[in-house]
Amino acid sequence: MPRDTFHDASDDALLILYANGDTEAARALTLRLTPKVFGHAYRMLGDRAEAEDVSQEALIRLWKQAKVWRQGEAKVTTWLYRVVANLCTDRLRKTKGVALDAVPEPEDNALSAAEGMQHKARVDALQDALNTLPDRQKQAVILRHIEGMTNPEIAEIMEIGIEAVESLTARGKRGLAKALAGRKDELGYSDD
Amino acid sequence: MTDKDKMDGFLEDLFAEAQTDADAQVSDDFMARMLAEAEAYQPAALEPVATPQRSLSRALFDTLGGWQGASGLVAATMASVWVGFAGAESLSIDGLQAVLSGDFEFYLLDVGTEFSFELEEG
Repeated sequence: MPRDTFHDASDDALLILYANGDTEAARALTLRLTPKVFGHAYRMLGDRAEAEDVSQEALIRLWKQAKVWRQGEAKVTTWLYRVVANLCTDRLRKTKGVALDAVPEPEDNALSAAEGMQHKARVDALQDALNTLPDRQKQAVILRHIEGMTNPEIAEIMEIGIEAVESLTARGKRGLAKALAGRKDELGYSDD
Repeated sequence: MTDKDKMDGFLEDLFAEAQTDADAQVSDDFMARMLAEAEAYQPAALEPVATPQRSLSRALFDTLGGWQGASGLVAATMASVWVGFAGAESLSIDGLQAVLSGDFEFYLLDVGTEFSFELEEG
C-alpha cells in the first residue's frame, strides 16, 4: 500500500494543498484519513460493506468542502468523525427500525468457537455488545477505548462537555459489561 | 480482585483485540477506489499565467510610457531641433570663441553694468 509522504504536514495544510490541485496531497490525505474513517464506521455499524459506503460518502463530502474549508475552525478529523457518526446514525435508524436502546439477543457464536477463532469470536462478541448500546454511548466508547482518543478530543467531536463524555463512556462500559457478563467463559476468559 | 475489576480487565482485553481486528482495516481495493475518487473530485490546479515575450523596442516603448510618453518625447525633440535651427543666425561667434579660449575677463566685462557681480567683494 502506498505510504504517506507528508508526515509532518497537518491535515489542514494538506486539505489546502488538495484544494489547490496538488495530487500528492490528495494521495497523502486519502491514505491518512481513509483508515480512520473506515475503522470508525465499521465499529459503529459492524458491517464492512456499510462501512465502506459511509466512508466513501464522508470523504466525498470532505473533498467537496475542500475549496471552502475554513482553516482553524475545526480539525479535519473532528469534522470527519462528526460526518461519519451522523451517517452511521442515519443508517442504523433506517436498517434497524427499532429503538436505539433496544437490546437484541446476543448472537450465537457457536460457529466461531467451533472454528477455533477465539480472537474473531471475542471481537465479534464485543461488536455485538457495542451494537446493544445507544448510539452516543457506543460512539463515545469506541472513540475512547478502541480508537484511543482523549476525552477533550471526544468532547469536540461529539460537541458535548468533557463530563458528558465521561458519563457516556462510563454508562457504555456498564452496558457492555452487562451484555458480556454471561459470555466470559465461552470467550475463553478466566476469572482466575 | 473485585468482580468489577475482573470485568474491567475483560473489557480492556476485548478493546485491545478490537484495535487489531482485521475487519476494521481498509482493504487495498477500497483504498485504491478512494485514491481514485480523491483525484476525481480534486479541483484543477491553477495554471501559471504565461508572461508574454517582449522585444527590446517594445520594452523601451513601454518604459517611455507607451504612446503618450513617446509622443511627448518626439514633440520635445522636434521642438528643440526647431529652436536650434531657428536661433542659429542670432548666435554670436564671438561669445563661443571667448569661452573656448578661456578669455573670461572679456566675457565678464562684456556684461552690462546693471547685471555685473561685485566680484571684488566676493
